[in-house]
Amino acid sequence: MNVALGDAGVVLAFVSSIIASITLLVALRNDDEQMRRTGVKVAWLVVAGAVLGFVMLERALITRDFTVKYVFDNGSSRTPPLYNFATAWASLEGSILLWGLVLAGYVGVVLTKFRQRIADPLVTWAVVVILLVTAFFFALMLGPADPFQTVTLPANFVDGPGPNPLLQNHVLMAIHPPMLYLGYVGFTVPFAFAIAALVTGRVGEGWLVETRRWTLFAWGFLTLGIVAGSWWSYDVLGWGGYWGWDPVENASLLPWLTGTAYLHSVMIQERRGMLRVWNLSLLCATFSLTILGTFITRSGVLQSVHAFSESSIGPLFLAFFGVIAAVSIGLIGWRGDRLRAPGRIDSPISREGSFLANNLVFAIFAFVILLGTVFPLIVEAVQGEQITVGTPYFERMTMPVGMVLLFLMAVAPVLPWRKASGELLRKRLEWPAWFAIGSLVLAVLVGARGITPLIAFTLAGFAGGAALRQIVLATRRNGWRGLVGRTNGGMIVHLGVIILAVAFAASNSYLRQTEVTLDRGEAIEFADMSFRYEGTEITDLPEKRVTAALIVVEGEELRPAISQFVSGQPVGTPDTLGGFTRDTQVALTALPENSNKVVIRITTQPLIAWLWIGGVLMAVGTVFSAFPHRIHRRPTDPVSADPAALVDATST
Amino acid sequence: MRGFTTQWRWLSWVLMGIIGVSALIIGATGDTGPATAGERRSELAATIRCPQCRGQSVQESDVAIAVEIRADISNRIAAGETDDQIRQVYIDRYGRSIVLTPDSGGFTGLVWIVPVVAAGLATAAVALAFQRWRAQADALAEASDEDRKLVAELRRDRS
Amino acid sequence: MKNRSAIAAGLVAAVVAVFIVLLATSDTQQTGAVNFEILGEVAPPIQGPTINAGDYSLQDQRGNWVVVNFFASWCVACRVEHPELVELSERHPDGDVQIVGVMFADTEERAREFFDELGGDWPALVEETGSIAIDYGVTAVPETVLVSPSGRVVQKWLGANGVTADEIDSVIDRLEAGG
Repeated sequence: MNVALGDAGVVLAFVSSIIASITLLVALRNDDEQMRRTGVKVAWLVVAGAVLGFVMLERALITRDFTVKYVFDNGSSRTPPLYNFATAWASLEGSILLWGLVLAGYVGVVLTKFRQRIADPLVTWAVVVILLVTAFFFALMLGPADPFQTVTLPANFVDGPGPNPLLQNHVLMAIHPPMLYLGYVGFTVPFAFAIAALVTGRVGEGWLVETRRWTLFAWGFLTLGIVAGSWWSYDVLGWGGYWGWDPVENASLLPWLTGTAYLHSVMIQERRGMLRVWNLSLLCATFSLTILGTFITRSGVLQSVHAFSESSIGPLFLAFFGVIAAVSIGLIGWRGDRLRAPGRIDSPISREGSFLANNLVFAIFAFVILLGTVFPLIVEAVQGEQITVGTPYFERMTMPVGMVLLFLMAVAPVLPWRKASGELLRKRLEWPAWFAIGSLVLAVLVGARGITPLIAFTLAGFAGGAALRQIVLATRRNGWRGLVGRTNGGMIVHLGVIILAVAFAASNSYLRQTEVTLDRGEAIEFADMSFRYEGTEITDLPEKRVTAALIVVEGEELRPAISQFVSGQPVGTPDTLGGFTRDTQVALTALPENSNKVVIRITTQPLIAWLWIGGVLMAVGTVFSAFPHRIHRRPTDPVSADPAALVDATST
Repeated sequence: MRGFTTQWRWLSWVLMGIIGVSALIIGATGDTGPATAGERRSELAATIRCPQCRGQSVQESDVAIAVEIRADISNRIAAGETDDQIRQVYIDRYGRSIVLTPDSGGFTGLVWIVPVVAAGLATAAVALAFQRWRAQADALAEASDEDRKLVAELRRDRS
Repeated sequence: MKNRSAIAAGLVAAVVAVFIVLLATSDTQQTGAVNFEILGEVAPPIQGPTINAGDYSLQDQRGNWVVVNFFASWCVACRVEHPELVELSERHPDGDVQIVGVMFADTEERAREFFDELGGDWPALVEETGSIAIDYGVTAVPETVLVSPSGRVVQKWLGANGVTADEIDSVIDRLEAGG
């Protein structure tokens, strides 16, 4: 029954998305209101189908229906309930179904929010585009990524293997993928509106500005998803790493970068009507990059710790990427000239100028990461040689970019629109500059050394000072309302970024790590702390056996462990002594043979907690930033006087 | 009174500069590099890829070969080999892909050069755009004779 | 300048097309990419104490084929291939094809147990560090290397695949016939 209904859900979603698209396209062509209404109704069936499919997969997992191949491959009666629920996205087919569910959810929300404007061809086109993307994903589930295949249980079947051990070791497994998908998939909506605007030729009306909130929503969740992924890595990998410049990680960062660029440059479009074509390109690029990222994660073309196991789905994603790119580039090439606005920016020393610089820097940032990620493929194709482009490259290349961005974050909030004089800049930047010097002095006083991190801290102080100045001025003027709204919420997001940047610089520059063998009762000193090994503790759980070593660190008990699951490799779980100033992580490097001796790796890094605090602050700032304005007016509503009234006035 | 404020402003910037530079000098000279052999090994191991893993460095991974390579690096450091010598040893045995930093010469060197060139080109393009905008603005700043005639006509019509 | 968008779009399209072709034609990367750097090189020295035959030196074996087997007691595939090596040693009692084992990331005691359990009477080095394995570019165990009588590495097998007595013999025969 699970399979039958699940399949029915998938088929329903696929067929409905196709039929709804066709119906809406015909309605557009003939301007047929009736057809349009039918199309919308059929589109709602997509949502129903997706929900049905997902519910059936969960039901199969929860009831341990091993006749469903997905449960047979990934489920187990031993997996704890939360991880069992999350097993729905632990493997390829389920993750595609989750993508489809989120996409269908966005279809529903778009249909609801725009229900009164569905008659507008632009909205209809946007809905069609989203439905076509949905059709692609559900088509995948009818073919290579079918979550509802059946399997006949072998005679001696006892239990399923459970999900990959790395995916049932940490609670963030239940949070990171859904958040990431809300972000990735969310970019489909602004993309759809961009395509719709290109097709109908109506870019000048503020549609792009209106969908800014959708972009912000997706961007916020992508931010949270990436930060959650880093946190998860940090908690489980064992060497204190939270960002490895791994191809999959880079792939998730690319749409975030273009999305951030868009969120800034759209403000230039609002003010001056300029850069329409560029903004459209950014939206299309962001969505294309999410598809490219999915391709990299699932195709095996680039090695990654985060990659799914290979399947035949890679080429399909690449083909889809090609289609998206072709459609976007084709439409922009065709319409581009007509949409160009004759605006100009008066002076580089202005808010607009700084946003332009922002876009320039983010474009370079994205280019560097993309180049570094695919360069091994290029070298292999051209020279036949294998090379690796790893962390040292990315760190060296992105460090100057990061510095420039910090500087821009300092200068942009104080710049007025249109033009600024040197004197105005000097006056407004004085307090942020003192903040910068203060940060530098504070860093040197607490013992930070090394010119690169110190410059980073100075620039971070500079940027933080500028953001705080803006917030203080706004709250003085408007009370609590000084914290919400686009600019102020944006300053809070900036503060989050700055905190994250400082934490990143500090933890990378001042990481200390060592590997020691300890006898039972032996203690060593490292990084001004004592570590004493007390003995091993073995815990047997239904799904795993946990061998932990009791390490006493400065009076606190840490229990780094290695978990052996029924199937799969043993998985290490480090234990961390967290704090606001620094984190100390202890990991077992190998399963101890006996309890007399143990080999542990110790890692201390300053300010790790501030990575997560910064990330959460970015999300909070995003929410504040989306707060409705006092005068709730749609950017697409007409602003000029009512023509009828004007005629009456002039005719008398 | 105003002169005093501006002077004070300038003074505060100069003061900032002095404090900033002093702090940077203190900070830069205090940096001594890897303190122990263990830390030197960690830094070096972080640049060598674990041959059996998916992109992790030998410092990060705990598979058998990574542990062995870490031990081997420690031995070589103790024997007095330089960082470059040790890296070359590994390149000889495992190929160029064992090192996480791409070569700066040859075709591979492009990965270092192209971003810098691209950044330069992009910045030049933006600078050109600003120049063009400035030229447009200048062209509009001066009213042409035609415009003056038109304004004169309209003024006459109104009166 | 009229069709600036079209020109820009064309350029972007060309770059993206090349990019897609690159991604489409790239092979999926294998984990632990095979490392055959050493093929054709002079075999690095293998020297040291063994668990069953005193000191061993690879150099002394010039003139004979030597099968160097990197193993560990905790390695499942090593157990799988071990009987084949036993078979090989029994086929060549006069020593024209020698076998030598090199322990990897293990203890002497465990290595002894391994041999006691599975048989095999060839020398097995029990070096403390993995330097011999690293010299041979080993990435994981088991790996088996074939050294010619002139002291060059001529073949390398990864894992237990292909390490059968028949396979090793046939490679040796082929190389001897080829000259």
